[in-house]
Amino acid sequence: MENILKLTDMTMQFGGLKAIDSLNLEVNNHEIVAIIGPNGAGKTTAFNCITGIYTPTSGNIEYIGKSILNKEPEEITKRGIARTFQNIRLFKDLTVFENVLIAVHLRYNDNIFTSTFRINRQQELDMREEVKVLLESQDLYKYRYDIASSLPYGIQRRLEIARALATKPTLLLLDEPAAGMNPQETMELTSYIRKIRDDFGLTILLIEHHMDLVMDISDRIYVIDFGKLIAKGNPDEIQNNPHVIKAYLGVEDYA
Amino acid sequence: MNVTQFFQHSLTGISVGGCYALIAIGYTLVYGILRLINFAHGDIFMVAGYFMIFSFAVLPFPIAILVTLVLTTLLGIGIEKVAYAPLRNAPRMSVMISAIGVSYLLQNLATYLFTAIPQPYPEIPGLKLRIQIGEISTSFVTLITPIITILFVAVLLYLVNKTKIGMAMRAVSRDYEAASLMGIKLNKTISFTFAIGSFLAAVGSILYFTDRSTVFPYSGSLPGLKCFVAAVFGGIGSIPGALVGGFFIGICETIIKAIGLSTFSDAFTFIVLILMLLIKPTGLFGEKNIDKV
Amino acid sequence: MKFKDRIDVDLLLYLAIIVVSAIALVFLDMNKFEYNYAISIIEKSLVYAVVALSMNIVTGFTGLFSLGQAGFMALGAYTTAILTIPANVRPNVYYMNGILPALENAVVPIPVALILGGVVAAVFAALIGIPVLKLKSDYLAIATLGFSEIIRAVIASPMMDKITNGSYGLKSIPGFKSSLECFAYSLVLIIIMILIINSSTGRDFKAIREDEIAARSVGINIFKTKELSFVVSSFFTGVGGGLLAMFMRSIDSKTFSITLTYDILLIVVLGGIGSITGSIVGAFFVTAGKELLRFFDEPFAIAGVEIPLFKPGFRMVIFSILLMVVVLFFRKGLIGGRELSFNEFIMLKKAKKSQDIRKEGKA
Repeated sequence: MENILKLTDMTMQFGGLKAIDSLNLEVNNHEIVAIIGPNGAGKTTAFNCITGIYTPTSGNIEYIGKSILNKEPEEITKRGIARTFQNIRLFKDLTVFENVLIAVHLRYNDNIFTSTFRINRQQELDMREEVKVLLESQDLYKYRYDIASSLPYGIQRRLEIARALATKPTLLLLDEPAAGMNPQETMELTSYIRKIRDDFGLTILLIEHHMDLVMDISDRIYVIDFGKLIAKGNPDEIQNNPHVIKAYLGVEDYA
Repeated sequence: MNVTQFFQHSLTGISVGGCYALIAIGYTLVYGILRLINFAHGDIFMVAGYFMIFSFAVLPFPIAILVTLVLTTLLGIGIEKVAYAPLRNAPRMSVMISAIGVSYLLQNLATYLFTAIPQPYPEIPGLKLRIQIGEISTSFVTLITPIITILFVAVLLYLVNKTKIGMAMRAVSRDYEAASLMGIKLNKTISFTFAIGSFLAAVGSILYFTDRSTVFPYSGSLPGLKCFVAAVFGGIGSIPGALVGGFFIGICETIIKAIGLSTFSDAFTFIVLILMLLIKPTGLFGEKNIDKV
Repeated sequence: MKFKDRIDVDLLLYLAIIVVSAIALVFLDMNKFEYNYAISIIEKSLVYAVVALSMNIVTGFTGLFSLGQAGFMALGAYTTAILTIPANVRPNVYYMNGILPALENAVVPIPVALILGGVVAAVFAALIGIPVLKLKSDYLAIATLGFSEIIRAVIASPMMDKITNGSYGLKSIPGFKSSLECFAYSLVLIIIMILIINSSTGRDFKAIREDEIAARSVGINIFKTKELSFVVSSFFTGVGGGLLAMFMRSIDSKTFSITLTYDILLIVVLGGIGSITGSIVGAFFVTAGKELLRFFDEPFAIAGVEIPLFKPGFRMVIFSILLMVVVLFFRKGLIGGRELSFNEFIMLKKAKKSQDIRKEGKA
């Protein structure tokens, strides 16, 4: 199986605090991998390191065999890693259509002259067509003229995923996609994540607290606590791992 | 430049620097807490000049000084209440524009009320006294400015580091939301910060204008700009930083003027800003701030 | 197809406005002596509209707060003036200190001079932008404000005497031959700026304004894009400065004080930050308003009793208070943060109607 993402001894230190302590993690092609752990365990920090928002203090990050350490976030996106955010970051005052359209830009070669004087007319039409197809496939086309911030929460989440998909990623990072969803919505999300994985040929790494979703969807799970990896394995192994139970329940000497 | 001249200029530089430091503290405290460049701060400094002129005209000087300090402090608190507090949850740019609006209003109001003609600043008895130290001739105000500055900074540092309200200020500047969740009264703390900033600006204003002799509606804008740069140089949010930054800008500016490059003494400040951003964007004593994602 | 409709109706409306304005200006131009005052207000408004819109590119559409308008305008104005003052009057203009030999006969056609003015402003913007935009765009406002003051000091300095004529300023700048000429220049600039704002580049600007981290996550290089926005905006500000020089016919360093920047900011804020039509309407509103309120600055008496409020400076106090009121209570500007659009107006009405119907249905 082809290796997509590989973190080697990645450490991220903020002052005296080690938010992530030599984390080793691998994600293989077409897998769905989950990172779980209590709040403040360093999960989102790991995402921020992978996407280049933070530069790890030490260790390495490889994406399809090449190090992406010290690369800018936009460069990493161009190489094929897209993400969503824990607290939804949409272009709030822009329409649904514009939100996705902006994410398509990176694959087209525009500059200010071609775009201002409409020399890129054909490109612009192609981009719009692409967005239309994508929005239709995600059942969002009917919202195309709506301002992003005016949409219900659930739709905003889906729009954020659609925007990430518009960059045509290989690896998609989802940061708590089910946050704030009820059980019914969470179930729908589970099948939705599988569907986009298959439709777009994606590899998915996600952070999630809804255990039903995690256990149902993940091929493999990594558990971190206080920045350290405390367990990894398939859902069954994780559910029975004493360290995990301890981290979650806070029981001393459970085993 | 001979040795005497060198000391003469250094003394002037330190004195100007002291005034700058007092103003810079106002910028640094407000930026630390609200992430706001308080464009009106330089104009508060200018208005303090007018307060002194008018209170001095009718009151004996110690009371006039007191009145100036109190009025300026109230002005600072009032501006915050009227122009910044209602925009607490607005985008940062709206607050900045509001600050510009206040600056614009104060300048236009001053022009309207007192005309654009520079008004003579009163001579506070004793401050203008000439003093001869060896070959160096200077005035009393030049000598006491750095002393007063350092004295006030020491008191301020004590206030910020050792008292309850100081702790509240530090907490708010660390994390606004967390601080208010911990029961810190946000509005009170912010008002207090503006009070300190404006009070020090008034002190700076008395020292500065005594030396310059006149006040006009725009006399606050350029010093204001320079003092913000001084705050950035020292590391925005840091009080010792503002002190060092103020002295640095003041001394360099005086030296540049002394060697006959007056035109570029203002440009120099701006170059300092650019260089600082290139070399050490957090300033001399600044801490690295990581934006939460 | 909502998108299509809007373009058609509004485009027609705008074309109609342009044609009517042009005809009106031709009429005014033919009766120049009668309408001198009106013409000068219109020309000034047009120039301010260009500069306000250019400020809006960087401030309203990219979310960066730049306060260098006066400085960039000064660069554009001086470049234009130096390159267009007729060679035969130059000895008169520079009678005090003489002129740099290289500039004695350096005269270029007006459009070329205007573009060069923009280029000079853009180059300076690029240089300031590199450190500031890369590290802390927070400080852009203060850096540009400082820059603007320094440009003014340098222009007035004795070292620049042979180029800028120091503190004496420049005069005999060729003005607009007719108000139609001013209109044509402004129109072309405004149209190009609108095209930029509505292009894919303009969308990248807006993405940064909305959320920098999200913008990076979809592959936008925020430093390059911010720099681009700042440089483009400064280019148009520079050209606007050139137009101002042509309007005023004589300039000196005092023309470009911080007050000028604040005047432009006033227009942008009153018109609505991020509104194209807002900036244009705002420019006319503020410029005409200032002229019409001129009597506020003069002694005013009712029934022989002089009202003490009316004295020089009162006008500006009113405008400052207006600015504060808008910032505090109408944050989206007087128009309300949207474009003046006939089509949107119809849609608003429709939406309201359907709402009313729904309400009635419920009742």
